[in-house]
Amino acid sequence: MATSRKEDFDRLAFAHFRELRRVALRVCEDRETADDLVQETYLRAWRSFDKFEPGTNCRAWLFRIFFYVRSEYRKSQARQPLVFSLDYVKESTLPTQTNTSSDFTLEEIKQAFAELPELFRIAVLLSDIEGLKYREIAEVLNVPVGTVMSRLSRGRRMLRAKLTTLASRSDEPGSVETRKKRGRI
Amino acid sequence: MGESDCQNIRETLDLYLDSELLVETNQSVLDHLGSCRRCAAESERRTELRCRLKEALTLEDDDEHERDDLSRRRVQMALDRERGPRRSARIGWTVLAASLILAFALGLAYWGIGNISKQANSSEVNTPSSRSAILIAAVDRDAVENHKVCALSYPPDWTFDQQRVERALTPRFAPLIPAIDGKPASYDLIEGHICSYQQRKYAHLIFRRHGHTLSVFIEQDDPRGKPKSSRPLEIAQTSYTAYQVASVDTGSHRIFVVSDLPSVENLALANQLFPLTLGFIHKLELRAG
Repeated sequence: MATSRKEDFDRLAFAHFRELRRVALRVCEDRETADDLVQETYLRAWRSFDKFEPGTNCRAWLFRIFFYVRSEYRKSQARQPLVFSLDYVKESTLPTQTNTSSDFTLEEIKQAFAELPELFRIAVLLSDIEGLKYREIAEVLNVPVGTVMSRLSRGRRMLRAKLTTLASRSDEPGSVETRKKRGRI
Repeated sequence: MGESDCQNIRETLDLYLDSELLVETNQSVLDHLGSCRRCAAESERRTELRCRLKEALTLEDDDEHERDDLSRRRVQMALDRERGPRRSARIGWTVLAASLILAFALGLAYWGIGNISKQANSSEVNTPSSRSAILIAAVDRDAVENHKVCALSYPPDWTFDQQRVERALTPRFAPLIPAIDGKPASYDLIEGHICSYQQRKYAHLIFRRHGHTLSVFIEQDDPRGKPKSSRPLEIAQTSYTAYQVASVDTGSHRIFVVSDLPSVENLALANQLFPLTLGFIHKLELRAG
């Protein structure tokens, strides 16, 4: 029986190891903390594996445990809550976007993403990278679906705004970046 | 088609791309995109940005694959440890009670009789008279457990990569590599990083020679601890299961040398490594002011 439980756990939970670690690396300040929290997530998942309902989404369940473990960790580190304006960018105030994302290097996109406020970055990460549905993200982060929608919407707007700003900077006449990107150098 | 129509569509475009709209709303967005080139272009831009973002964030180098595997092995070993005691918990209260009594008796013998073998070695080693034997045993045991979980998990063909190790040690501990100055002689440094075990955080160097693995751990004990410069530092040598631990406590840091070598050999290696490591810690403390 015990062996079967162990085998079930290893088969189900470790199938998502890479995805969980990838999320951890994106939301933790350093690699060591990410690995520590991933390890703690798996230990807690194992301890409460009896409560996991077979057939439900194991990945979302692991993510939920991870974000709980991370929130405990952050409390233990006595971090200050993140403060940001919810009116950061509105759709109507966005400049008209004419650039396509192929105008940017992957590094620039990564950088713009990394600069998003944490709450929004996590929502975008779980939706656009990990492909979770709104309901699943809500469960993982323990927030209402409406909050997920709001965070996603604002996070994506900010990302677009950052890239638009970057484009307007590099579109200045004679910009080396512009010419490089457009294959003129 | 008015500006307000486009504005409304832009507001719901992300939900449409996420397939989170109701069927009717979905259809109205589809209809609009079919007839409005600007919104259709915006939809394409957003889709493309998502693809590029995914590409940017999922692009991993070879090092990351290695670290993934390593991290996975560590998690697996931590789980194996976790599962051990749980199995024994199922064998029944009677056996459990008997085990507890036995463990208590063994514990008394362990603390009292001298599994903590304080080995004086000429003038370089002092007996740890001022240190609590129980404390030594507890912290040394954690160092050994981390040695087993972490250092022994590296495959035999694991090779040293200066850049990877410097990154993993963080700028604070990266200077430890030149500080140890190629010691211990004839051992290969294969890895260095920051790791943790039971809430203890260590800077960890791993050496190998002829199938033996040696760990050097530096643990920050009390950042406000006073360096014990007024009197000689005590090296304590303890044994735990099949492993030997030589350790020294500076007041602010603890240093451990852990291996499966005979105790005399482990102590000799510690004697090579401790002066250099202590020098490094001294500089660290000077930098911290």
